Amino acid sequence: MKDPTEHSEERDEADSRLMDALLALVLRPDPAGREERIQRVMASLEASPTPAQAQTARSRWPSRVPRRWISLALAGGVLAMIAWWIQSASPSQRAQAMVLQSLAVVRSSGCREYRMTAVIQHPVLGQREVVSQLFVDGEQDFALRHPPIFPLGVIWIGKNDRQAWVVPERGPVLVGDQQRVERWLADRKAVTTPLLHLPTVLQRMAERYVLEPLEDTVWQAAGSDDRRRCRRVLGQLSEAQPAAPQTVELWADAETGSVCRLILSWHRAAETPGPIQITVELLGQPKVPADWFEHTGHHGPERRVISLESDRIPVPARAPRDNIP
Amino acid sequence: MDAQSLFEILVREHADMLTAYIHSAVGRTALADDVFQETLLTAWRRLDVYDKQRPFGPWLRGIAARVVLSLRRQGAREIPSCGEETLEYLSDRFADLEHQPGDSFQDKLDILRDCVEHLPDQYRTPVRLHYADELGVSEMAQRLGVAVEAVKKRLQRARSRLLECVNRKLAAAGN
Repeated sequence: MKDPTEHSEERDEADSRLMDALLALVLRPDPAGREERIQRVMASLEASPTPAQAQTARSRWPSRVPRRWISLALAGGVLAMIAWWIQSASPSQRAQAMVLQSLAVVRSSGCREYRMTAVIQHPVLGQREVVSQLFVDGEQDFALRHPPIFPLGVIWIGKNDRQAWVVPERGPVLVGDQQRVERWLADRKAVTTPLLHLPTVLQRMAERYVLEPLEDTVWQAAGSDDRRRCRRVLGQLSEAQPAAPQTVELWADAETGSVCRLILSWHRAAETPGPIQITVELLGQPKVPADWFEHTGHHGPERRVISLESDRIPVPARAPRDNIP
Repeated sequence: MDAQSLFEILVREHADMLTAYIHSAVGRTALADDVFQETLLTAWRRLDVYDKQRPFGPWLRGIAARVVLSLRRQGAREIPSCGEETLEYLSDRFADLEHQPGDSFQDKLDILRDCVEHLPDQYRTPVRLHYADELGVSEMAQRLGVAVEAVKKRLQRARSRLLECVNRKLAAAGN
């Protein structure tokens, strides 16, 4: 924000109105009023002629989907538009549209269970496989069951629209915002696999990866007769991003767009610790208890719950150096 | 995807920014809704001349500024004194905010949220009562046990402090 060199009364008043407007927006957002204004505009457009060159200008939109398109795609009501786009666009646009479609489905659908298989490279032990269960419901809710880690035992990690939480088999239950929980986990190296939030992975795939469609394939759910034709998209990381996988491959149900398989791969030197590959595989759409995405759904009533937002952050059990299960 | 769908995408993304810009220009009045509507209808009619390689936000603000100036020329009394230079100055300030990290304009305003959190109590409380709880100055005066004028002064000082704070943070981010 440029500091004005000359302060006039008019400008001071404008600054005051500016701050008034921003404060109203920040402290009292008005989504209903906003939607009403937008709807009023869109209704008026119906009566306005389509700009003559707008149709031809479509071809000049960049092939990579800007972030702003993604936010709208997720705002709802555009799945049909995306489906049309998949059929008619260029290969890269089609790949973008497939990812957006899967993203919209993940964000709007009910609970799905996935098996998450992470191949982790350890400097001493070499490569180890960690299999977790991941439950995702809509945009916000997820719960991950991580296999036992000494001394915490099985760990449930989750998040809903209000808070993130960690429920170890032993010791206090921790709740807080996602950042604090992630920091807590990172500080203690308690969980060796990255916390995969499917909507975020897909959003980043759409924003930061060069996408190309691969040949369709048939996918079969592990241990079931559920067979589906899947569209596949391969994303190559477009610019260096620390910790980001170099490639992401999406298998999406050709009819619904739901994620059947997601494969994240890192090109990592042999001595560098960290994930090599993570495969997320759809297991089904289970009915889960109402509190499944609350910490209370994963422990008894007697457990001590500590907020990471208070100053009394608990001293954790010391994390072992080697915490690969 | 037809032009209208594309346009709706852009409208949705920029609605908060445009509303705040118009409020900065004409105040939070009923007239602001008319300016919002007219700005976007003009943008729609002129979409064929919009250079899609350039950011949409400044283009929209340029149209909004012309709508405001036109209304002033037509004698709209509610519009405060706000000439072309001031409108451009406000647009530059929004451009600085748009450069902040975040997916939406709301996200980009995190610096202001942070400034509010760090206001001294005597200023933060009236700001919250007025903006978050929608209390008028008389109610606030009663609630705080001070005179109406004192409330107005505190609000004005709070806004000045917040402006300084946001300016500092933006300058630091720019450096």
